[in-house]
Amino acid sequence: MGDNTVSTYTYNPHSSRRRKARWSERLGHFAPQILLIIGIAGLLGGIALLAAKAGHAGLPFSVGLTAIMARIWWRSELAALAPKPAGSTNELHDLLPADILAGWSQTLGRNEFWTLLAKSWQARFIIIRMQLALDRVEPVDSPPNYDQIWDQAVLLAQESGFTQLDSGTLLIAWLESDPAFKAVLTEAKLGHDDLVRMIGWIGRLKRFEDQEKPLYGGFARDWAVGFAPLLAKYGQNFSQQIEAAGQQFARQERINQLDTLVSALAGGNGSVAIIGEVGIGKTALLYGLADHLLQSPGTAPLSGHQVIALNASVLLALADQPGSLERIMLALFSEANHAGNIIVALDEAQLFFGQGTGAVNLSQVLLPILQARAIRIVLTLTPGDWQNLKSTNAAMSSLVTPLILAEPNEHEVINLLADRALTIEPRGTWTTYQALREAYRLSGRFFQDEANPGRALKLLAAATNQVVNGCITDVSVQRAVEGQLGVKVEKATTQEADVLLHLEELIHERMINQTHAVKAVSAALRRSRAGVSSPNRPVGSFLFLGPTGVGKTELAKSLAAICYGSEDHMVRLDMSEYQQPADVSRLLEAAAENPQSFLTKVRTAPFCVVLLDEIEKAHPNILNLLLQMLDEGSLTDTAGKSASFKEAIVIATSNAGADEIRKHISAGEELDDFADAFNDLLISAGTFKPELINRFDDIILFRPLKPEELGQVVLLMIGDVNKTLANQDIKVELTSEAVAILVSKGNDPRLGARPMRRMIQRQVEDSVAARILNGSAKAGDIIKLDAPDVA
Amino acid sequence: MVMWEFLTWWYGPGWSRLGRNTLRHIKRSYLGFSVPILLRTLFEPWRRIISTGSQTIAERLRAVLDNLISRGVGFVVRVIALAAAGIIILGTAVFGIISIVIWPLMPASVLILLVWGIIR
Repeated sequence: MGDNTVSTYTYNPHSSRRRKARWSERLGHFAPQILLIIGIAGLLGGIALLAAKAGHAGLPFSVGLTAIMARIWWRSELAALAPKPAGSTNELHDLLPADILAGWSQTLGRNEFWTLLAKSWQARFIIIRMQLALDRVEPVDSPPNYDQIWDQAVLLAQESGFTQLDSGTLLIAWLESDPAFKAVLTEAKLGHDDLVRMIGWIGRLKRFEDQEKPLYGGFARDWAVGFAPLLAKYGQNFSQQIEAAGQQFARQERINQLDTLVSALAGGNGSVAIIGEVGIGKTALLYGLADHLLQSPGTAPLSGHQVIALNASVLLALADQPGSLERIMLALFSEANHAGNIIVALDEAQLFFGQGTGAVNLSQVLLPILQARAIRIVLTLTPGDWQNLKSTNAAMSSLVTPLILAEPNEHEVINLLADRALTIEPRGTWTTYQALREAYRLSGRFFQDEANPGRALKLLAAATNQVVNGCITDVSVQRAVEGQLGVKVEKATTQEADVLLHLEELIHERMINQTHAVKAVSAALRRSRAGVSSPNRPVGSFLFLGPTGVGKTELAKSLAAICYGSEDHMVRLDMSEYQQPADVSRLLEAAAENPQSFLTKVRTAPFCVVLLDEIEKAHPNILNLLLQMLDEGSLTDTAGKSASFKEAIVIATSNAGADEIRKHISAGEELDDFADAFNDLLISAGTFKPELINRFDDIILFRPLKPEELGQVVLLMIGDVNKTLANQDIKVELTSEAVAILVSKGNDPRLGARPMRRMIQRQVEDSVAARILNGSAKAGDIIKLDAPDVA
Repeated sequence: MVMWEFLTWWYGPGWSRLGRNTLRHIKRSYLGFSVPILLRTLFEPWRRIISTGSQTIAERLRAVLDNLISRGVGFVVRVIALAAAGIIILGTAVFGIISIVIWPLMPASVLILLVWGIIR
């Protein structure tokens, strides 16, 4: 009866479900309110007529009752026509969501189908959050290939785990299966995995909205447990916070670990150490535990238990007399024991065992409590702190069950970001899917101090302050990174592209000649910012070879200033201080051992020039580490934390073979004429191993400066002096004779331009200072120095 | 057709849904009043207020008395709560049963009221 076969799908336009969907559509969304008003009015009208003994009271009663029955039907059935799970049937009238089923027909054109989909919140959610520029798609009137859309929708639904088709799934299936939308997806940088994640995002949101309000154990839950006023005063009651906040979206993470945690707390030692890197979600797991226990049925283990966290710093602040801290702790644990339903969480537990800043050593208090197993305790620790505890307090560590948290994968982190985004985005703004992906990507590159999902969440939260056209986009995330680190991560703008294209000229404003070196480093930077070079290695790595005072360090400083905004973005290591095998550990010192260590500096400011001075003097073991740094773009410190060099420009300098360079240049040769032979010479002489030489992007030879170039150096240095004097409105100028004298006096073939700085200081700055002090130079003056002034 | 679909639902899934909803409301009242917890802890001391650490016989007797009072208070409060829960649950159940009984009569009532309204 009226069955039409559409390829593998059967569709009955006269099916009961479709009819109901159409009635529901016709009644509209205001149907319950209108029917309720009619119902009440009818009943009241009937009562009024009865009271007035006016007769015909049955009429309004029957109208009112009909309206009420219709309302019940609408709410209970018509508005809730759930489709069957994808894959369970081929009958479209059972498979399609009701809102689509009501308006769909096999001949429906693309525009009409699009209008139908766009009515749903799911489709609008997708279009806005995925930033789909659908208006750019050429309008076509013919119907889309529905068969392909249903097939794709079924696959997507099964893959996402949310098997009931909705308008969002259908829209995504259409976008993915129709070649007309390929450009839209490409422009929005969206692939299949992204689309599946989007379906999951909507599915989780819908599931959350459909959930019934939890009861959290009922009003008499706490009548059988003791009072805990001290814990309420000094602790942070996670359970109470959850109850007060009510049901929250995005609190459905780490379900497996929750089960393990509950089992470990309920049985065994009764105490657990949650071990994971900073940002991995240890505290979030405690909140998850509190939520889980509040919602557990009365028969479940630990049902109704509350999680109360103690903070070491707060407790330390309370201890005003010797021994008072121990007394407070004992009182708190005694209270927890008496209450009978408290799980004490020691967040950042190392602080209770005397490790780290602001720590107190309460091992002697905690050990007997753990041994007695009367109170359930959860410690949160980083792997390093857990190792420390095991080595320094084996008795205590043996009393707790370790629960190691693994870092979630990309899929899990993005899902978590998606759910959290809905709770952290400011009212009236939309976090786009691309922003979530960018937060994951950039936090991985730039905030390696923390683990995921913490680092990605923090970055996403920071991006909420960078709203672009009402949305939190990938650009918002990039700007958040730029704001925090002071570096460029956005796609090169026209202005920046201009800087990159004219990098050589900009560098030459700061240094003289060495055109080959300047050209090589400029090209490397252009490759990096254009996204051409490998993202897994440093932006550029160069070995600068040449005599002292020819501009090697100056070029490094110029790069730091031009590329990273300031000369301060340079981490400099004098490799002559790393000549012993034992110096390896000093190079790899962790932040805890030395907050100013090399790797800590790079980790906190990854956008920098790493300058390794006199590299030939370093111990071979150190050079082996540099191989790893150049190859993999990272080094790992003694605490096992890695520091990334992927945003750094690594420059190693060496004077090795300086005399050889001078000899060649004196003989009238150009650098290119002997560069290869020179490199071979350094390898054959054993100065550098070939594997190290080969790791650098370029080996750059610097030649000694000629007298006329030294003259230009003098003028650059005078420019610096003038910058300093600018606030006094005084300017210094040198005659050409004065410059010549300074060059002849400051030139040392062995030290290059290095003595020039001293010469300027002595001959120019001293002279200017004397004139300012004796009043012969005042604001607005130009001090002109001639040969006798600098002789 | 609308009437047929409506009546099919009303006397089929709609009626059974009403039954399920009644049971759900009873269950929520049961849990909302913490009935399982109240029953399990009926004779336990009120908020675990108990006396411990007694040495002498007099102190022990005093502790036993204190604990008995605590349990007595707990028992009374819980019994009152259980009674309140019982009333609410019973009310919900009665209301549910009445609804289940009235439910099938409602469509016919519309007709009766309509006819009554027309003739009187």
